[in-house]
Amino acid sequence: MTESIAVTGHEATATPLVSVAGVSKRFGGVIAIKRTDITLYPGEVHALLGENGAGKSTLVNILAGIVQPDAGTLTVNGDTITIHNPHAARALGISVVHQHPVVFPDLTVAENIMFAAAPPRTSLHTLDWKAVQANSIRAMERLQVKLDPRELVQNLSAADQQLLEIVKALSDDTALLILDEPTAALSKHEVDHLMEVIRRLKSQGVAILFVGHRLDEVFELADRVTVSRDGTTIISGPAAEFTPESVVTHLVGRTLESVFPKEDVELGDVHLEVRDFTRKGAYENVNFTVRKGEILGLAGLVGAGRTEISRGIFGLDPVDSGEVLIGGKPVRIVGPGDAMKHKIAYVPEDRTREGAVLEQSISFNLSLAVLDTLSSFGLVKSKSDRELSADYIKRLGVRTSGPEQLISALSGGNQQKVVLGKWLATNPEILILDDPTKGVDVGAKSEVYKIVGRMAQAGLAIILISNELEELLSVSDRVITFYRGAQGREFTERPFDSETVLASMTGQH
Amino acid sequence: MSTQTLTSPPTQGAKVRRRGLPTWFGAWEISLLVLVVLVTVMASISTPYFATGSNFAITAGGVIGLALMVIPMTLLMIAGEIDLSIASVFGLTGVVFGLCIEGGIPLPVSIVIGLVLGAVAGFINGWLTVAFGLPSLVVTVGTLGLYRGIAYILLESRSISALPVEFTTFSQANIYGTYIPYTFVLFVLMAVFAAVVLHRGAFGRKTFAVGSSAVVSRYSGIPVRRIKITLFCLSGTVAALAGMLYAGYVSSARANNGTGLELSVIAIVLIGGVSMFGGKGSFAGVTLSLVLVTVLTSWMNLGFLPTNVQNTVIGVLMIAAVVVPVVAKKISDSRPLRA
Repeated sequence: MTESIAVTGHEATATPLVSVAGVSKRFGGVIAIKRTDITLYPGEVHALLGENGAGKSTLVNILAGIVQPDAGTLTVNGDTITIHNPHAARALGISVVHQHPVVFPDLTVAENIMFAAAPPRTSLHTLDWKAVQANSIRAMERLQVKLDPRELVQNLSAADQQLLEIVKALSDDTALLILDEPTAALSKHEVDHLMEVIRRLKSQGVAILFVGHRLDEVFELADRVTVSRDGTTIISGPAAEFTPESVVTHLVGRTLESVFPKEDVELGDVHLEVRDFTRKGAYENVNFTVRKGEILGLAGLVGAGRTEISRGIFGLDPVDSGEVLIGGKPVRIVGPGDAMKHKIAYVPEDRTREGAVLEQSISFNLSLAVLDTLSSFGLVKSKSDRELSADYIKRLGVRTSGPEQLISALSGGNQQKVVLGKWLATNPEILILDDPTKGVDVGAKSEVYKIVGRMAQAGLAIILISNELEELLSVSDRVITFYRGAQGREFTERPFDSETVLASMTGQH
Repeated sequence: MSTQTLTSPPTQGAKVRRRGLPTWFGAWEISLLVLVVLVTVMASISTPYFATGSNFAITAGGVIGLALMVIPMTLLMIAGEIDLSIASVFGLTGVVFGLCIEGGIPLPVSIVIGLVLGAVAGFINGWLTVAFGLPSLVVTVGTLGLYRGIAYILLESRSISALPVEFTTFSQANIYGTYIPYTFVLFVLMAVFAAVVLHRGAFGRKTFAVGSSAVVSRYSGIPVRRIKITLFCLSGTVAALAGMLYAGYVSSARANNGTGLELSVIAIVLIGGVSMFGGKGSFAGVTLSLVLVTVLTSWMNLGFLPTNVQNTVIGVLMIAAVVVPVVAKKISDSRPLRA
């Protein structure tokens, strides 16, 4: 693949608003971005796409004045400049909406908007509450956002908080609005509303840089697309010149099949069955089965109840009604210990908080779930302990200086391999994987799924949750969708059509 | 390195093993060892009464109550919890033990009653902490007052001195022909047992795991609540044992026995390198810390330094123990990253 950058499609006459040329940045020994180029024109929607670790956030932070580049030039309105701090970025008309809403949940909508600028004062220097209220209404009107200024922000939906963030970020002289992964937690309907707001801004001549990795809404909206990988811009051009398939190929540098290989596995009998599983407020009447050797994919948006269902199966949360059957027999699971007795393993969603004991070593983490079987008379057998560590480090290809290295010193992908190893050491028959490749680079993702594929071949019944739809559809044998706690459709025929699955997981049947 | 023995290095310690040092004997333990040797040599030179058998017997016998309670506190703090009520349990069980003896209950039964009382007191601490998700600091500040209050209600300002002679002998006497108190032997046995469990046992490794991350531990099938309650029960039981032995040592069960002792225990555990936040520490470090503080105190006693000065010295040591690792970490973090 060519590493040269093709910039085409914009009339040579238009003056770029912001132009980034040959920018590099390293953090310690890690190169975050190198020779990155991107040009933004007034009134265009520009999609910057890249996998985790592609350097998107670093570029956003450079434009936002949070991080200073080591090399390269930044041009704004024809002037080569340095953006020293976020305040300077704002003065240049660059507004950033970060991935996770940065709001004060205990304050009202109007108060949150107030803090974006200098709060208005009365002649007595007390807060001018009337002006606070009026300013917030004016700011929202500009985007035709209708939120109650007196509502507490914690009562708003994720989508409304996102809109509030945009309202806060925009000022009268915003020229460039950067949206960092704005749709990650939104439903289809909410995304549509966001798109409308973006269209309105575009018609006002604001340039919008849309950073993300979900592809669908990009093609609906973007004028131009830039794809970056491993810290470098790979290609940049008019949106019309891309297809979803070509973007994915650029994103990962190879075809999907080679990244997420699907092993041929002879499926066995139904091993796990979940019947009428209900937890009020989280999920209701969930029914599914998983066969030996099968990978069942649970598709849905963040908050669809998939994590809660797996927590229920593993005994981490109480379940209101319903039952779990293993090998056809109902089992009683009231805690993780019970689940483990029934040979269930659960790789949780939040690796650094729930999966790995960060301040301890790799061998400590690998042995954590099997301490009792490793011991005789209450003492851990050091030979078995060492063999276990050596074995899993080798089998899972953990890149480390040795079993006594702290797990926090490993990359995300290698940490996840250790967490997987911890569970494989328990010889599970049922493996639940909750977003196992979150925050992991493409190479490690591929390795993680190769391990999962081997486990399926070994006859494990596997439930896979992933927020990366392409991955989920590539490796699953069967897919069930969830939307707001309700079970949606079941897809049994590979290859799955991502459009149909996406429609189902966003509540459209 | 004597591998395959019980004292061979565990693989689970809190620190990275560097240059062949076992995880339970790292830079902190070496610093403490150097300090212990230094202070012992200085004390021996400066006063002829220090390095004597009788001083050893007096010092070891006097410190035993404190020393015993250091053992469970080490485990509890590594598990990320704390028990401030130990000195009150110490006082209360001494009182109840005394009352049992006074009431004519046989010695073995009285001892068992005292131990069970301590276990129950510890269980209450653990249960309140675990069931309501409260910080143990808050729970045990409460029971500190509660248990001491019950001791005063039971005995008021009285003291019970008529304790069985076989019990006071065990508490006070040395092994025949030596300067080694019986209670010292008891401490050594318990300390060795605890060290093996902590650094070699599955329970010890779970204790480290719970203190490092209770969430990951729970997700890994470790019974976090049960482990915490067990450790609180252990803490109460050992405090009870220490309280009864102390009553025997001074031949007096009083409601105010051991007041304030919990702070000395916690100081020793912290000076020993156990993290305030759990998950880090070694039994070797705590033992060295105990020896260091005991030697210093003995030296200052022989030099007739007032208690206030002694407390000041221990206070400075404890602050150093808490500050030095933080400063050391800042220095090592500020070094540029290597590629």
